[in-house]
Amino acid sequence: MKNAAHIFVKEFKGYFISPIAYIVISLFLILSGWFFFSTFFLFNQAELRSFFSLLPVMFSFVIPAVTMRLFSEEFNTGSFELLSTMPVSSAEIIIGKFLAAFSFVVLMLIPTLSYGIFISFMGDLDIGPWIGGYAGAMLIGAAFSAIGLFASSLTRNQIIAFIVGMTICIVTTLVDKMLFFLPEAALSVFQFLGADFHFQNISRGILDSRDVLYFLSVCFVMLYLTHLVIQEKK
Amino acid sequence: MRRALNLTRYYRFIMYAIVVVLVNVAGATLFFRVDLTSSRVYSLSRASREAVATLSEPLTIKVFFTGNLPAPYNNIERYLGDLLQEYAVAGNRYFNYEFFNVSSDGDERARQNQEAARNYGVFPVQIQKIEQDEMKFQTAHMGMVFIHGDIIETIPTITSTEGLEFQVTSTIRKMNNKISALLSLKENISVKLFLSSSLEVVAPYMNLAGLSDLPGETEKLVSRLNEKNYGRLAFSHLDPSRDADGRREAEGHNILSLRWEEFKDRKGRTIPADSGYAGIIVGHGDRREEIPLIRVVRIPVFGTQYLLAEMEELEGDIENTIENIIDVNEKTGYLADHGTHPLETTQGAFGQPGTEPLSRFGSLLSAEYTVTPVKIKEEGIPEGIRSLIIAGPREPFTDYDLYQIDQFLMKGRNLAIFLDPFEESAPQGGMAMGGGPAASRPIETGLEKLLAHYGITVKKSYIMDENCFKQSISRAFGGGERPIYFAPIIKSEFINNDVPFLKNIKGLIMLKASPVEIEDEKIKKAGLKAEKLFSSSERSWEMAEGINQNPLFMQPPTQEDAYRQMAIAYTLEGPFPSYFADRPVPVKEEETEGEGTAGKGAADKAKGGVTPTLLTTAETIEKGKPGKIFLIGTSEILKNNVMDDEGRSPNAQFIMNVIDYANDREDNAVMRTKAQRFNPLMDVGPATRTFVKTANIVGLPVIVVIAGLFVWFRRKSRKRMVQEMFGKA
Repeated sequence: MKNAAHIFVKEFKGYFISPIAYIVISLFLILSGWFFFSTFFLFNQAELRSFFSLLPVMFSFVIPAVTMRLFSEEFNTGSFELLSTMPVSSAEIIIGKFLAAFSFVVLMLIPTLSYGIFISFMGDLDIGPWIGGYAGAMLIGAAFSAIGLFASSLTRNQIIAFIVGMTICIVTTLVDKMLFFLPEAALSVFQFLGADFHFQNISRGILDSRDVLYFLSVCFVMLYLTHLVIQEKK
Repeated sequence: MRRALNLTRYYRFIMYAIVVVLVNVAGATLFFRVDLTSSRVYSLSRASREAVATLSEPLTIKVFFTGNLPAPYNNIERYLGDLLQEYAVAGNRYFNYEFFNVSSDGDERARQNQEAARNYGVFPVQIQKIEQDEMKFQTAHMGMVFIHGDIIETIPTITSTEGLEFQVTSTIRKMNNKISALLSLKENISVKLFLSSSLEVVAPYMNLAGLSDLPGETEKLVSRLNEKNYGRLAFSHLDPSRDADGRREAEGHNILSLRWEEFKDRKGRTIPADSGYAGIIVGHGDRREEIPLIRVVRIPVFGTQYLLAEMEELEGDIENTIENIIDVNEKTGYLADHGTHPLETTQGAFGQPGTEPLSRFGSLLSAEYTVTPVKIKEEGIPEGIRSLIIAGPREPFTDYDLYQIDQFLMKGRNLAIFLDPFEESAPQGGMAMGGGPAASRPIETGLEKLLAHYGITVKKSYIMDENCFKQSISRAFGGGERPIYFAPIIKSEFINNDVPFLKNIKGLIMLKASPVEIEDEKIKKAGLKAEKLFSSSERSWEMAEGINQNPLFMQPPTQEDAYRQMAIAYTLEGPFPSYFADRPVPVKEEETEGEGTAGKGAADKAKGGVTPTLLTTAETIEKGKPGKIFLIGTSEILKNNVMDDEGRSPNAQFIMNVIDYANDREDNAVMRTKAQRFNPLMDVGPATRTFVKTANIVGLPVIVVIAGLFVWFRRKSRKRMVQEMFGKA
């Protein structure tokens, strides 16, 4: 795991060398702040529900943008061949890169804690759903990071990696909203596959083992698929 | 070889994927939940857990739900499944539930389930769905049936998860409470008849025919009731005239005692002075409740009349008292005379609608309680109701009416009083016709003096508040908002959330409310506990004279000292001192002479010629058992324009919580409001709002950009330093 830690540090630092990280975080904060606070005082309720309900859709765009370069850039510049010759397993590479992306998502969420802090001065904010919301945000962030990483492992083109990652994320986010159009027999299966369905439960303040299990399963399946793709590339 | 290795990888992945799916499938049935909300919104309440843990007979819940419904109905099924699973965990071996798929795919089993649902009264409802780019309707079953012994209850349609736990628990309690409570008693409920044999001598002179048959009749009655009460009633008859223990016990309780001086009977024989007791005590553990056998009524002209309880009346009283003793009484009294608001639409003169009814409040109330209309003037307050709701009385109470209310409270019963300070009458011709403002006349019912004796009063004024409901004005009239000062908005910080039944109420709206004041000295002296429930804001003032409720003519006072915070509602709890403790029992004013028992008494008196001088003691309870009073200076908040149909608004939930409080069911109130989502912000000015928005929308990204620039400059300077180092070299 030492190698994974090295890769994690390198990738995480790599985010902040270029202006991309700051641009992505700033855009995320502008959008989430605008969507949340534009109606916040109209609803006049001391809660963060509308912020958390926005997160899955926003993450569907932001996280693939964060993860698109992780493998694609390596394939494109040829540095992946160099990495392959080093005494490091593909699992360590994947875990290192995944943790870097996940840590970046957590870092991106940290400034939004100020929303809750401001609201707690203006009303009686229930801490439970606040904690639950962030726990859910980290779980969905981890799942989408794994999806983005898988998308990045498929191609050397970052734009394609972004589009593939975004498509998978948006489909898993919106699948439970599209149940109208799906055959009746498959409704419960598709609903279970919906990331937003599981996220909304946690963001309401219920930490349910089924939802946690779902996000961990998505992480595992996606990271394993990435592992298969990397093995193929090696 | 390499290809085989590749295939092995994929096979392994497929195996792992299958394991993941199986783990999720298993996890769907074996799961745990942690409720992080402060009010435990998603966890079973104590009341719910108790309801299923104390089942003494099998309770089966059958859920008829059409499978694979479109959103949002599919979530209801999952929520219901989770909820019932939690009930099953908390419940004992008698709790069972089962889901029946009532899909419309023509399957034989589904058809049978549809038939079963129909038989139980669960009928399909129409819901919208999109199919092939078209909006279509689908029929769906979404109901549940509760089967407990011979009792069947149905919730025919569940269209929302909101308040579902409350609904389910209320239904279970309604079905199971009495049976469970009776079967789980460690000892029998005693029904003791205290009847002195000495009374038989004076019974004919008191118009008490059949007094000697009473022990036998009562015993028969109790054995009949025992069949319905699982044999948990133990009857005994004590004769305090012959039994010293019985006498001591009778003296210890508040049983009617009669004393008479020596007198001569109709045959001229001397009847010595004596005394006797008459009453029933129903008790279990340390709880005791008294049922009077003889009612003493003083009627002008006719004098004192003694009325012996009828057997049917006694049966109802014993049943209600048993329910009180074991805490399952769901009967609440509603004062239906003295000009109170009717719960249902009434016909006025010439077919015109009568007084404005409280129909929404009435339907919410009757959904949870058996509402007993109480007509004090005609019938008095029946035994066995735990609370009496008095909503906006307009007519004066006689002293005898007040006496009954006072004694009702002394018995440890509770009052929920909504008192209006003024009666408004529309001016002749109305305001539109230039008739001027509505006239307001102070209401004096007499209830005020009773309440003042207990240490609580409603002032004869209206609370006006700058923090109030704002009415939108249409553009045709200039637009903007008009403050309605007599509709104060009660902010969260002015609501006493330490009171359990107000725990999750974070905002209310009042209407034409009056200040409620307490006398600390009196309350302390009586050993009562007063609790202020909520107040107006600091920017409120009183309108006591020249009442004019036209918003156009309302102006806040210019003097700052006119503004003060005022209490709007209070509760008082404890052993109340009787208003009639050192007063004679009031005379009952009969409206029609020569009717009923009074008439008979008079006739009897006329032909009897001889009447013993009777003195009754223990007739008035001077210091009561712990009781409760809820008092608010308005009944407007019970009206349909404030209450909502479903009872989900904070106001409606508050009112229903008050009724729960008055019926000693505060756990019910806590359960009702735990999912209350109304959580308004404090009042913040436009400057604060702008600051919060700017700080979060612009401030945070700016900080990130500054951090980025800082890193960039640092890197640049480091680069320059390295270049300089190597440049020097």
